[in-house]
Amino acid sequence: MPTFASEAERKKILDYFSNRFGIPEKAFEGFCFLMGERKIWIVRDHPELERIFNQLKIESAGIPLLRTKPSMWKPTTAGLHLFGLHATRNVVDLDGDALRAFLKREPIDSPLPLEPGFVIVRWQGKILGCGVNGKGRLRSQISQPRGRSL
Amino acid sequence: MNEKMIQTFNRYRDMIPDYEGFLWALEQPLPITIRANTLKLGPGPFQNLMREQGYDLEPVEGIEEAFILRGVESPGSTLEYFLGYYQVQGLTSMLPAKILGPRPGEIILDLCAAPGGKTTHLAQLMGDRGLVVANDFKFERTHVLRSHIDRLGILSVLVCCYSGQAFPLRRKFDRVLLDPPCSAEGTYRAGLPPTRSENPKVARHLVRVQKELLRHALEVLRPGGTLVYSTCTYAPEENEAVVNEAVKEGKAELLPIFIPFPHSKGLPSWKDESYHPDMGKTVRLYPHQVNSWGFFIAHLRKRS
Repeated sequence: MPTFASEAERKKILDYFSNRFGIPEKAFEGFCFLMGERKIWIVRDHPELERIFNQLKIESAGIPLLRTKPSMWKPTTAGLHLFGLHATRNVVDLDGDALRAFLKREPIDSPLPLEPGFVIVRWQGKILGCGVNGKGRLRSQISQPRGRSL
Repeated sequence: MNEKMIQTFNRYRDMIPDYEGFLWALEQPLPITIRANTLKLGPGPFQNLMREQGYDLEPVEGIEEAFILRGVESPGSTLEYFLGYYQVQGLTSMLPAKILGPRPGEIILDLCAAPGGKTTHLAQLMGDRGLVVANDFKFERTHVLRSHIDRLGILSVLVCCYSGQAFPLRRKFDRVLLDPPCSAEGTYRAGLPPTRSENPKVARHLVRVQKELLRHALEVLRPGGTLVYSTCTYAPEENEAVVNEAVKEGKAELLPIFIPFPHSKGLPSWKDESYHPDMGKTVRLYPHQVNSWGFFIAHLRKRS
């Protein structure tokens, strides 16, 4: 069962989104972060939320926002669909051909300048999800079944 | 229609108005209906966006977020679906959440929530403000539920995994949606032939479970709170008879329901059993009345 993020953990999450993508803290106002074993969840805050967690065994809450490993954090597709709209850094806009290749998980040339690491991928102003930029190539991080179904 | 189905439905010959029209409607192709995710795009902008992308979309009168989608073989494989702009959902399946009418800030329980069409609709109707506790007794089934929550970007749903009859009583809810397992006769049109009601032992088991679930759902509802009981079956044993027990015991009273489509009233009696005089406040939807699948809906208020 996920647990509520401490103040320090909340700050770390806000700093990550601010430093990496330029997403302001304000975008996360009114939401709680929950720390799972390998995921960080985001859920709508509510005066009864903590009490419900004490009363019921909750399997998941809201949506997963980040996948966490000791070495890195990776934003989820669901999280970026909602909060990626506020991003000002490390955002890539694709054209039609690049979109097709991206959804097929084929590597495409990275537009410059772009920092190495995870980036937000956009098409016609819509957030598609997460890509990873490295060695001049951009690769899709959208889960295979979801990407394939398109 | 195969012989088995004719036998299954034959017992409803005198119960369903215009029975021949009903049989004819069962053979007609089921239209694909979708629900705009108004948390991402309002019905107007959604319609514009879909039309700009070349989709043949027709609004459904009476439910502003509902549309009929034509010419798309796999509505779950479009970019717009992936982006969470809509949910594929039967038209009549959209009614229980609308009738329950959750308000922002409330705490709602969906006791048998998977696969999650109604759960996500409840959250949408609340503007994703409040809390929806989505419960399903099978953990595997919550995977599909969670995938819809993620894709639609819903932040107010908590998922749990209790047996419905053993859901903890320590939390009381403002409203409860109960859409229990049923014989699913109403989905015949969708190509899911009902088999569960053909075995009398299974049918009896379903009725017992439904009665237990409704009893328990009323227990976790706060006094004065409201509950919607819905099934996708025509069987009175799983519909009026289940609701009748709760009303007869005085635990709850039936509330009137407004439906924006032609429909029938709940039955006053079935075989040798007479139901509570208020049973006419429940509704039955048949596929020759509304171009969707069959449904039964009751709206109850727990007595203080």
